[in-house]
Amino acid sequence: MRVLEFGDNIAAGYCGRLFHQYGIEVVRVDLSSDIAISDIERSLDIFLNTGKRRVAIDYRTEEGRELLARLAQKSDLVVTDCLPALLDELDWHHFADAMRVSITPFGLDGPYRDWQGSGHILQAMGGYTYIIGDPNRSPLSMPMHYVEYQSGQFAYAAALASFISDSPSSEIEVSMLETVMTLSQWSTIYWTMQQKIRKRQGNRMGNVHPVSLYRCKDGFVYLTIVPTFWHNLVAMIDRPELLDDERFSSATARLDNMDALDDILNESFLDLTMAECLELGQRKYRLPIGTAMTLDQVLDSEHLEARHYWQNVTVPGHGKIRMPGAAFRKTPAMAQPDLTYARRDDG
Amino acid sequence: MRVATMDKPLTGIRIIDLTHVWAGPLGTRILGDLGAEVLKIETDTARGLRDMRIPTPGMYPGGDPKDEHWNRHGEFNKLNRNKKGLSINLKTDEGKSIFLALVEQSDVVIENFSATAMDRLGLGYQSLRDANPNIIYVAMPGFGTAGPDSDFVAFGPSVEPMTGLTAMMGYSEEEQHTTAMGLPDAVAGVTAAAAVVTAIAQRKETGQGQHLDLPLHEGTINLLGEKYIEAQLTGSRPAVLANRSASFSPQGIYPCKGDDEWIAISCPDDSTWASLVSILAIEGDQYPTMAARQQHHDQLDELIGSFTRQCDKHELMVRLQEASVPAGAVQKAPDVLSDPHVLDRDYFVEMGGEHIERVPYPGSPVKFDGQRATNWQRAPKLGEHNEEVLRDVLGMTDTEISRLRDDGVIANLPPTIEDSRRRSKN
Repeated sequence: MRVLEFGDNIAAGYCGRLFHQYGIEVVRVDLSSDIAISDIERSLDIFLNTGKRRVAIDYRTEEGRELLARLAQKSDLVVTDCLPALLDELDWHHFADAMRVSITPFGLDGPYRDWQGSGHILQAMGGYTYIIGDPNRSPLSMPMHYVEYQSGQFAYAAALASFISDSPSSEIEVSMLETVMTLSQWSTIYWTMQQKIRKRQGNRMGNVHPVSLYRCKDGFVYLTIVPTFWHNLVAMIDRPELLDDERFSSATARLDNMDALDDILNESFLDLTMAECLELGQRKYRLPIGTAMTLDQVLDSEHLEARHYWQNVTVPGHGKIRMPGAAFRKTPAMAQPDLTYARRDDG
Repeated sequence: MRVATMDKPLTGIRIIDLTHVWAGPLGTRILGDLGAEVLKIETDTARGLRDMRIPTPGMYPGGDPKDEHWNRHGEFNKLNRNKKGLSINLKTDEGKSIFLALVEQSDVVIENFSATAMDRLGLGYQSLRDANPNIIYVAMPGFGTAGPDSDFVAFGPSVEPMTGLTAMMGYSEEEQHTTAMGLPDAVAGVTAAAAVVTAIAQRKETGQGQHLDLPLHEGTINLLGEKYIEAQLTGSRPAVLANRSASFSPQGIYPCKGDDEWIAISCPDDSTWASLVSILAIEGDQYPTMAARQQHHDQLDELIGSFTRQCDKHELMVRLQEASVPAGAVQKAPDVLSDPHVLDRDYFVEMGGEHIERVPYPGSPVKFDGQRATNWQRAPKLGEHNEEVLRDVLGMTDTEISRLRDDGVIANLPPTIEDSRRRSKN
């Protein structure tokens, strides 16, 4: 099986990364102008494209399109995240005999078909942004390529499922806006069930408490204390009198007195480091808590090291770095093969 | 023998679904949308979203739990369409036998319990493999099935900060922020669908099943891949940028007319900036380059905000998009449900039944040959398909099924208080 991938909106790159990761040959077509200059661009290029075969073709020219079409004819599956206008120019519906997979911001039809949509825009339109952030302040966007990568995962799963089925499709379409809506757990359902708009609640989840972020000695700790864990939390912070406090005597009471409870918890955790929070909270009291790890701390995690999670990549001019490996793997976990990053092919 | 259709490529694949709450049910919902036969197995007290013990305030049509609140939970119904519902007590020997008999007739088992729960039930991978040597087994514990932290208690919201996301998200370096929605669940759900399809494809080639480990923790780290690389290339962690971008400028969330109304705008290049400047009627010549706009982002935000706050978010969105400026209204739930583009594409799917009113639920972002998937089924009531599955898949008789019900091995109602007391005494 060979996958041909082209486009410039990240989602196809992530889809192609998944195909490569699970042993399928992926040919990535870059535009001649796609030169990663900054460290940010290069980081993305390393993550998405290491291990793929790469050719540079300016498919916006007639000659380039012919070359692209010839490559497509030699492929089993073609994945793109070009905008619909360019797909029209490529005569997408008749572009190749291979299975064609498009990942576009708004889909291939509908009033917004030709609109511009990055992750920042699509998170907002899909209902995510409005509920993230503090009340009385602006909503917050998430800082990573969530929409693009999740759309790429949908495209991968749908395309592979179709490819191995008895009646494969000729063309598969993934809408990035619809991906966001498909993955909304907390917005539309609140409205359809009770005609209420879910609002921003800071770091709180709002329907059970204490579920929020608290400052500790050297960072932050997140507690997800559903009722089952209340007694153990009280034991962990050594405040047994809270069990007799009317304000916190039930799940509903704790919700009604969130501010008072948070004052107590903020004070309690200030004396503990993040490492102590995990040691005490997770290992001794078996509580669902997490700490706000920096990227360096995650990179140095003994747990991830023991699980062979990171994959080594040699980057010319820089040496060996680690990038996240596969998100699902066979057990027992084995070391993943080392890779070497190569920039796009200039030919 | 059922035949796969274009919109249901996984027809003929049978999946045993032991998942609960969000991540796992989302994964199996996607697989069900793709045509797999999903057998959702719950205890009669269930767990997570349709916990039998107490209604979740408000999460029912009209806010009314009515008599069978466990069958009316909105999130449960959203996440479990296209599945068959079985309620089997896996803590009984007979329940285990039925489960293993179903494993023998299935392709995939998927669960999102803690790392050791299945072994403690006596239903670990080896037991499943003994029942069906080609079974695909997907485990979704928070931190994986092995490793020093594999026994950590994990819910999506507290796993999220452990991935590095919180350290790079917020209003400023000092004000770190979470998504407050348990994002690792949404990531792991889609990853689970990808994992199952991959394993099915590989089994088609090799004839062999496998045991896959899919931790919530690693799935979300994966989604931050380039950030980890950037941190190593530059020697410093990515800055907390609030709604700005390190590559584009200006980018932000700007206030609009009305209470708590906003619009997202992004300028990826100079020509977009020129278009934005002309619509906003502001002086933009002094910021001709991306570098200049990054440097003066605060001033630009003030200029843009002073214009946008006079505008309706939807009208401005249309105006900007027609000028090729990436812009999107920050939509609230009713906006999303009434969005003309979304309606035009028939994205939302209405489902309901005698026990639950018809309401629109999110559909699938995938179209096959231009077609939406068809014939979707509402989420099952507790144990709704006990009889059908035990009869059709395991060939049980009505008498056998009736005895299982009498013995409390299967159920379609949660236990009464008397049942619970009797069980706790035993």
